[in-house]
Amino acid sequence: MTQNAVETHDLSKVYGTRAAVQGLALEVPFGSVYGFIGPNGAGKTTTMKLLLGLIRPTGGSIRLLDEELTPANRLKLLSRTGSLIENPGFYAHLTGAENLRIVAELKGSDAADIARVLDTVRLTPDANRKVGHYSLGMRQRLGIAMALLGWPTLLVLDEPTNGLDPAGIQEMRALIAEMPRRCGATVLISSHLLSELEQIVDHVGILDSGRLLYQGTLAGLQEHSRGDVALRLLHPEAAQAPLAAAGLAAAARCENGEWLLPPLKEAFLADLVGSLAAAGAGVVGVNRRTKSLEEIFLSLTQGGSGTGVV
Amino acid sequence: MVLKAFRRSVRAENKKLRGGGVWAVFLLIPLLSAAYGTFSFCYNSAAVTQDWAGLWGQHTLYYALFFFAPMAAIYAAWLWRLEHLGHNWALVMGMPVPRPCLFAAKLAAAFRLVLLTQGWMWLLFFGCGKLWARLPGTPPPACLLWALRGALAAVPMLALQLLFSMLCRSFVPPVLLALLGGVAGFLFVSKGWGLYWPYGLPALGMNANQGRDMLGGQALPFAAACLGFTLLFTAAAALLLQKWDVRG
Amino acid sequence: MLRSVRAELLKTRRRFDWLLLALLAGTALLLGAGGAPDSLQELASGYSAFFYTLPIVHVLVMPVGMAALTSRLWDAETRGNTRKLLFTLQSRGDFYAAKTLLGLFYLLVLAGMEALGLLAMGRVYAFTEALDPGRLLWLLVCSAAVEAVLLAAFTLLQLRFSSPVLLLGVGLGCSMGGFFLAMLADIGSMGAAVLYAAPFAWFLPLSDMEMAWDTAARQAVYLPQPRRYALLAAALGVGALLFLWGRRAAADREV
Repeated sequence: MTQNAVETHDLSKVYGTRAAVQGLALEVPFGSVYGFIGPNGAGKTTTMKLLLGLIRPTGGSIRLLDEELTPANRLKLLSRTGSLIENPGFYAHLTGAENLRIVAELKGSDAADIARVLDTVRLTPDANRKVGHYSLGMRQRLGIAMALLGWPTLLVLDEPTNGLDPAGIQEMRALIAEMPRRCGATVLISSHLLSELEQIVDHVGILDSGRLLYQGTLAGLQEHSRGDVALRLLHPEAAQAPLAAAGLAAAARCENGEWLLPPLKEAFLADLVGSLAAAGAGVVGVNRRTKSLEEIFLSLTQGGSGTGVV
Repeated sequence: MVLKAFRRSVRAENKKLRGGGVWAVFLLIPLLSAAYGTFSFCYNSAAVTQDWAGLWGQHTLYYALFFFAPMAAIYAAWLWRLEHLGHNWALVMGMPVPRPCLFAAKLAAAFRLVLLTQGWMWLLFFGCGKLWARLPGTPPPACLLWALRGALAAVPMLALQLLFSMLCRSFVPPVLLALLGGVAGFLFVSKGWGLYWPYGLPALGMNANQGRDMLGGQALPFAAACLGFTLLFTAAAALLLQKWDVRG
Repeated sequence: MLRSVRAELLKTRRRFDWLLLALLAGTALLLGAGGAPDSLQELASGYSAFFYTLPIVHVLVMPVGMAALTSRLWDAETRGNTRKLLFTLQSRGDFYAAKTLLGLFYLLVLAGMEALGLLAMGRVYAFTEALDPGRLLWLLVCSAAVEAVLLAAFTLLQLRFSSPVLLLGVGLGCSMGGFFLAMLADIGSMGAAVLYAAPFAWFLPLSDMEMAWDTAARQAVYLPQPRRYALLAAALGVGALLFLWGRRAAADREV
């Protein structure tokens, strides 16, 4: 058994002359919450549709839940999957509960499962109202409820917090974060709310123009996205000479009372701090700034490929 | 100010018609009707007078009695479908125009479609008459009048269909209602009650299958029926739009 | 497959599709009745008159009716944007087959409504002719077979275009076309052979009743015609082929 719930090898999808996804080697570990991020049009939704067999790949292969995805076993694999792609689909003339009954019928779930998912997404009071009368947030909850039916092993969620209010976003965040622990599910989630994603994911894949720019743990991404070093100095005028000797005179800049230096290796930083102290600069604080996921994402996708990140 | 709002709404409605499949219906139905009518005219020389009026009768026979109503219903359903999909109701009803103007603008857009259809129908009539049936001279002006009168007579039916399509978010039921209405219209007209049924008015206006003017002496009641039905259905729609909560 | 069928039945709640079927049946019967029979001779051949006129009415009404029914069957998926979800829960083939089965069930209901309506009309007008159940069954079976062909054809169109306007426009066109062929059969040089050219006109050659005009008695006389079992089999065959084609087209569809 591999360690990945989802694996793709050289996956690509070409529409005419436009490559929506190219050479994708996705690895979503079992039991992880994998954040799939990228700018609009990066290929996230296309990739998710490829994983679910909604569209056919132009090249490459897909493994889901330790099996090669083929037309023959697709439904068997999808019976263990829950998904919400783009906007939720529903029948406006039916109630929320009736919509869930249709999905439950197809998944082989029972009434108890319907009640469970309604409770999970807080739609129980509105279950018997027609979906045509639901707000945007309620429809989104219904879509998530449909994905949760049948205790899926793999959840593929495309922008699941769309339309939810802050309380709803927080609830959804908590729900998604505990899916691996609660029911052993693996979650592949895409979102534009990077600050929200940062709080729940443990793995990240950054996609741009159909190519994966980074894939790995969130901690690893933050580790490798070398942040600036911030120094608080009592006597900054005394720091000029040691900084010049270290070749950092031009790179150093002052911001909000802190001296910012570009990312430095630890040994070099230790020596520099020693030099500054010896020169009487009065080093009272050394801080290595960590870039937020949003900053990393923007630097990667706007600054060309792999800028500032290993 | 209301007139300005109405004009803006009409321009908006006309823009929405671009790129819709409704133009395929507009082209196809009169074309098939013209083919049928001309063939019937040429091969039924014993039963049909072989002149322009006779050809007109054959062109309009089934066109006005059966196919015109569903075709007009498709136009009306299409105009409302654009709002029923997505969240366009909220968009449209949030516009700074009086709500009855929205309905009136759709009626104007639908009438424009019907007018163009009648024009196309008349062109086909003329073309088939000269090229296929080889009729001498030109059609009498009365035929053009009947085509225009048919378009005007379609307005109450369009208003009713727009009301149905406004109320029903599904495309199909209003079109089926129009089919039934058209069939019933055929029966009403054959019994001389065409003025009392909105689906019978286009057949009377177009003088379907008649060489003489079916409305001879009844022009005023005809006009009153057209106006009365139009006002009734438009008022109903305006009232509903004013009172309604917008959903979706 | 059974689950897909049950899911389709669940979707019909509160859609009142039976009302649309009643509208169609009512339209056909109303047109078939035309002028109400009022003479003794007309009442004595009331049912035969219907067996003769209903196929003609079906040529006029059913193509657009079947286009409407097809649009109705598929519209909920288009408006609800449900395919992305449904194709993760069932195979496209099962989805398509379940929709087809629902459509065929609707045709059964439509046939039942027409039969009941015909019987009701017989009572209301007090036909003195006895109803021939075999003739009624033949009429309903043949109508359903041709309607199934139309349903399958429009489903193929729906898979390709999804536009109800196009579907209904083609339906209207087929209604007119069928009527045109009926006229050609009557007065053209090729005779009834033209009716075989288009399945949407097969209501007519499948009819087992024809009408002759008795000029002396100035009344219509209805005469039984041989039943074209081969054509009925052909209709079922064409319907099956179109169904398989549609199933193949549905399987290839991306969402």
